[in-house]
Amino acid sequence: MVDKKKIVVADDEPFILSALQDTLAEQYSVYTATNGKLAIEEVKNVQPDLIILDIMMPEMDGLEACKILKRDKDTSTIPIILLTAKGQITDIEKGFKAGADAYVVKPFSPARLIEKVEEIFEKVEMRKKIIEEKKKNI
Amino acid sequence: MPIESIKKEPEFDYSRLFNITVWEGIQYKFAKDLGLAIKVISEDGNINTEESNFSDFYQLLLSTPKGQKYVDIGIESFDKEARFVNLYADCVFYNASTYFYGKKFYILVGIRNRTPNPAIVKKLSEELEIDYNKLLKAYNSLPTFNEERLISLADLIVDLFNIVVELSVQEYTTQLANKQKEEEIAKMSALMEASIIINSTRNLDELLKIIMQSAEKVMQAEASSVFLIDSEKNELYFEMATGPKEEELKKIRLKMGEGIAGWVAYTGEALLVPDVSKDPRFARRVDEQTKFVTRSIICVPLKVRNQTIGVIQVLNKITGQSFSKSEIKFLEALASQAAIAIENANLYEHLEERAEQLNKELKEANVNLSIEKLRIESIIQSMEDAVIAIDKDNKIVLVNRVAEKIFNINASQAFGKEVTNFAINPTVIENFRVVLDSKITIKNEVKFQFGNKEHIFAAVFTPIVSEKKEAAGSVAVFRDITEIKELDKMKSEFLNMVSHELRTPLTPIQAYSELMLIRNMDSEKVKSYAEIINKETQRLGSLIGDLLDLSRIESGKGLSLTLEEVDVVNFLKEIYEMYKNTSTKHKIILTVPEKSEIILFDKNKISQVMINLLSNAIKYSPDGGNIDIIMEDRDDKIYITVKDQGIGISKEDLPRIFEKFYRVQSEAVRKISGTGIGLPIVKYIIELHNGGIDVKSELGKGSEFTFYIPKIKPA
Repeated sequence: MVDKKKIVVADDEPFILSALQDTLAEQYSVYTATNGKLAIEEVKNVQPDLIILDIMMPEMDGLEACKILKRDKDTSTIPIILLTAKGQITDIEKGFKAGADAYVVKPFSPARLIEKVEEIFEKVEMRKKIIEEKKKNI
Repeated sequence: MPIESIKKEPEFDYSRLFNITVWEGIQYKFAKDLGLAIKVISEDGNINTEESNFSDFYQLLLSTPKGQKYVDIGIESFDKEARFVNLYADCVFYNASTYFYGKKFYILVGIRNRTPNPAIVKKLSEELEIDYNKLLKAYNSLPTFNEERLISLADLIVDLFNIVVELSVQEYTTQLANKQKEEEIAKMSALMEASIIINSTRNLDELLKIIMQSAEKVMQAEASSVFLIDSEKNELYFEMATGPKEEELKKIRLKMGEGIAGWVAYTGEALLVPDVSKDPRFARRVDEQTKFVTRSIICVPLKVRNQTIGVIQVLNKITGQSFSKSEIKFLEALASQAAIAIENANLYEHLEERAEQLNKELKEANVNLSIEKLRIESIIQSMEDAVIAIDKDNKIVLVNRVAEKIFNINASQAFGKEVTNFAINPTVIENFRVVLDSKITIKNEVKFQFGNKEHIFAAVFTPIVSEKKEAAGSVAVFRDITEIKELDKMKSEFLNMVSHELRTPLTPIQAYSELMLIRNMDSEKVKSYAEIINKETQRLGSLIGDLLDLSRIESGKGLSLTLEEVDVVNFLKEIYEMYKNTSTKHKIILTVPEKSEIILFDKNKISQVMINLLSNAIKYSPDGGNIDIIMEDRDDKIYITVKDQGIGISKEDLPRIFEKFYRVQSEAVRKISGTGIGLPIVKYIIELHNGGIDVKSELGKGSEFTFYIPKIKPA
């Protein structure tokens, strides 16, 4: 059995955090954090395959955490999904500028969230294959 | 008798024009040089020249009175049909007759001694008592002519006579024409005089007097008068009258159509009445009242722009004759001048009145204007908006009180100086320039430092455009919208917050409900999911409740209380139970007196207050700590305090935290979600209970909210 992919999820709202966890736990190993700072710590410990960050969090918000993670060599390749409130286009913009790979609008549909996560993993796989093929060609 | 012949004027007797003096001169010349005696007698006997006879015989006859009578020859003294007539002493005269202008003239030319007869001389000397020898001698020396010569001379004399008569007539007609010309000239000069005066004087009385004097002088009238129509009463009144009865006349008014003047005023047509006694239109009462005797009248209308405004009438020719038709024309011409005069005078009178009125209005307007100016100035000065006006040369012409303050300039010192000399925001200077150049109105927001803070002003720059459409300057009005902007920002932040706050519970609700739908799970999991959904739904409900409360308060509907008997200690214990396990970081400590109180209040609403205060205490102490709930029972009030050890509130923010939408703008607070409506609702609910709320806090040292409600005992 292939190891479950690891996802770090951060949200200050306990029930949103638990909802994310409950949604993803069947297929993935989910690690949680309640603010940006903690999320970064968790990422460094876990070395996850994906990070899901809520934007609005105390201590350090998701955007800030995203920027830091993307700037860090060790974590810059890990895809990041930002959780954003519906209609907050500025948040989405800021998110992409901060280096986010995708965003999910709150309130989210668990099924859509899973699709999104799978989509990202497929892309990552594809990229890996392309890189490997290139390496072979060389 | 045919009608025409009545009207026909009697034929003019031109014979009367015969210049007898000239003719007698010619007779004399003939008699003297040729020795002829000549005498002319008209058929009616009116013209009978003195016989020109220079013979001694004739002179002797004339020397005695009887002899004079003897040679005095009239029309009846001779046979008019005879070719030769014996007039006296058997003297023979040639009878040459001629016609002139239908009248017969007899020209007798003599003398011829046909047969000297001493017997006749004898008889004459006895009768006339003249010496016989002398008379005979004179008689015998009378010249004689042969018949033929006499006749040819007589023809010549007749020709000459005709010439003299003709010349006489011509002379008369010339004189007549001259006379008419003189009259015309007099009339013309009267008109000229009138019109000159009309154009040079504005005094109506004087003008009318001159016009009427001209009329009287030229028309040789006894009196004249001017009537004007009083259109309101439909009457005529004497505007002016000359002649002896002036004063009496002025008291009289005529009805339209009454008298000659009334008639002319009514018809608008000139009228000549040669004899008023024969005209039924004549108003006798005027004469009766004035004791004037009117014989004949010329009356013409005074017309201004084809409308009759009055009449001029001229009475009685001094000569006693009646007025002639030609004089109507003259009076009409004069009347038209008079009408102009009246019109002008009225016009000037109106103009003067109008000028006076205008002058008065202008004075009033000036007074009003200065009042208005003061009023406007005081309005501008007392405006809450800043006003600066500059002229086209950028020089300051107006700075109001607020502008002095915000631009830090002194109005009296700034006046007349260029706006660029002052430390005024460059955007403002630039806007002034653009407005002056392009004469357009600019509306924008201008930000600049004033006091110790940046203010935002809504600025309107308007060109002052002169009547010639040239830019005369510009006026700018600045309204400080800093607070409005802040409120605006607060509102949009509030909306963001609200949507976030609403979405936050919605997210787990949606997620868990969907998970329940799409996954197979055991009943325990279902229960735990349902619990989360339930809790989040309640949270959502309470938030919506807050929003509804706020909107009720905002719209003025307010909240209503449902008072019930509540044991305060028990109530607080219930709240404590609800919160004691909410947060792992916080320790909730409840402190209540031993003895509880049962009082009346709205339990749901005070719960809402407690939930708000406790949620805040937890929320704003993110690092955890103790949260105290302390109840105190003092006098007639119950005091409840919620105290945390959180981030605290700064001195600046403290007075504003109960304002709606207000949220502290700090990095720490920004990360904590909140709508900014909780505390305003709390304050409202407490005040609804006749209570009060107070806050003590310091940054970094936690906050302490204490509220009281009066102890209202159940009845």
